[in-house]
Amino acid sequence: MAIMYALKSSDNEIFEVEQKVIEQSETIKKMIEDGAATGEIPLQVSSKTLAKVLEWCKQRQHKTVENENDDNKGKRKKERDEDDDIKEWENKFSDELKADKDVLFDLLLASNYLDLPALLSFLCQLVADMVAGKMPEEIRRMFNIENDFTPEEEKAITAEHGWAFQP
Amino acid sequence: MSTTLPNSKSPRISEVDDGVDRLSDLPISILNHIFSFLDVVDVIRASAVSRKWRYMWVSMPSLNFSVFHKIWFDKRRTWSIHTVNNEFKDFINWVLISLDKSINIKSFHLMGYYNDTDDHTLYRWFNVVVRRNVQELALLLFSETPIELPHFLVTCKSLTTLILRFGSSVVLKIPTFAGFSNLKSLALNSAVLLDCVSLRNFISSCPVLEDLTLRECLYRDFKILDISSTSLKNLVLENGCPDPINDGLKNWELKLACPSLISLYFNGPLAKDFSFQDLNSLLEVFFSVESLTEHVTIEESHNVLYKIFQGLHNITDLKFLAVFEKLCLQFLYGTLSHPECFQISLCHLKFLKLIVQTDDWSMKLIFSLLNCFRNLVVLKICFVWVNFNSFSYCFSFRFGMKCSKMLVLSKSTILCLISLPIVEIGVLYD
Repeated sequence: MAIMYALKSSDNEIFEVEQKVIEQSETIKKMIEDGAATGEIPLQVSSKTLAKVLEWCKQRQHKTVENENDDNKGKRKKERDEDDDIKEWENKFSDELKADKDVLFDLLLASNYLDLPALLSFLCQLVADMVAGKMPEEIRRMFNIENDFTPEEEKAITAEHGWAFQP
Repeated sequence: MSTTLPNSKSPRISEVDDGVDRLSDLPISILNHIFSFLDVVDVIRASAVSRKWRYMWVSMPSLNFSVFHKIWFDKRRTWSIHTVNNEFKDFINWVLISLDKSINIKSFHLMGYYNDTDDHTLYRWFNVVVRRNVQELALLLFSETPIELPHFLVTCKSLTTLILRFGSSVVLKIPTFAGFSNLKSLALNSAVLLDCVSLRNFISSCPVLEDLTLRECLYRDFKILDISSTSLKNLVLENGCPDPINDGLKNWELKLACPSLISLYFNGPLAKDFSFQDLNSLLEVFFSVESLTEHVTIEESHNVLYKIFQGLHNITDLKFLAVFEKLCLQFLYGTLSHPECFQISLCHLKFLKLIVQTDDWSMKLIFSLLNCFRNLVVLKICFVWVNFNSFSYCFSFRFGMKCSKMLVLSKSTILCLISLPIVEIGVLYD
């Protein structure tokens, strides 16, 4: 029988999760090891975000563990080659996040706080792909960034890096 | 630079809706992580987004320079390759002198630099990044003269990853002294290696090396590619591109003695001989045998294949890419008709993935294998160049499986497959 843990979101919702799934989070793993996690584990993450985090962790879990009763001490590595299903799942996951950037940023902060390196990298890559090749104005619009330069300052930047702004 | 006072700033963008700028508010560690996936050109371009972003780039710890970035690529239309290379070089020099010297350089990726004869720029860059405790170095270089790794780089204590790719084959001089005391991962691509002894000694001398990749390398005058390492966990040997001047290990012996090795990936022409020692930790093998030399007899090929299987103890996962010439598959089939060689070595096999063609020989191979591996839990068969019309219809008809590119069969289906006499399948083809 798999060991279950109860995670409590910041808005007091309880999530019952298998130990293997949440141990991907170094933060939670440490809490469990330190014995600080008897009963509910309180997390500074909203239920909406936590649900999304767990969605990711469960998917990763399927990816890394294929045979449950193996005797090689969990050494079994994830399947290296292309797995179309996982790709498809990740694409859908990214599309949802691109459409709702609030969720994207909540998830970024949560993955940082929970110390989930794979999710953090995945999300950073996602944001990087959105920024790559874009002009400053497009980046501002995409992420609601206010242009607080004076026209003089802008001129100075163009003079300094003019070549970089050629489309 | 502008000297405008803060109170004179006049934001002019009003099309920003009431949404909040959450990107700029991210902790700097996350922003640097995002930048680590971007080309330096894109990061500098982003410095014009807002005041907060203005000088963020000078303290970014990961640097990606690529001559394949659109900005350089577009210049190639009007400028010569040589001029673009010089501009690219100037840009990198400028970035390196502008960076905050107190920040360590975590990774330095340089893609597509042409290293001219008597140009020492590359070594100067190595020097700069080594002094800033670089951990990861990934380079794609073009060069007409041999590349030698400088002493200060080989003895760099912070370096954990080195990826060295060459645009076309370039001689890489292997250091004759021990180094890379913290190197965990080494990958060489299209390097011409001249001396098997110094390569062996050098690899053995890296105390913590875990991942080694040798791709499309040319082993000149090797008798034997000898990889002995107590720390090595993952090994990739690939010579997958057919090349008249580079036939990989075809004429040499491959000798592995790596007691910690977990995964082995081999793709390319079969080596002349295989010698495996201490591979008791091996869990995953991917073996793609492309073609055997014409001059090798069936018996010799049989011996080679037998040695491979015998050397692979304990394997729980085997992905066998069997895209053979018909003749070679016949050779393999010869080996397979002696199932005792599998019984010794591969009785632990739980996961088998076969990448096969849909010809008669491949079908016979599948059923021979299934008869050998009785502990299989997962079987995946991926067909390449499928003519689904005749073939998979029979499969789906017989086993009720869906016609798809990848067939994933359950244990019960395997049992059902195993119990099928090969003859019966043969009938499907007649």
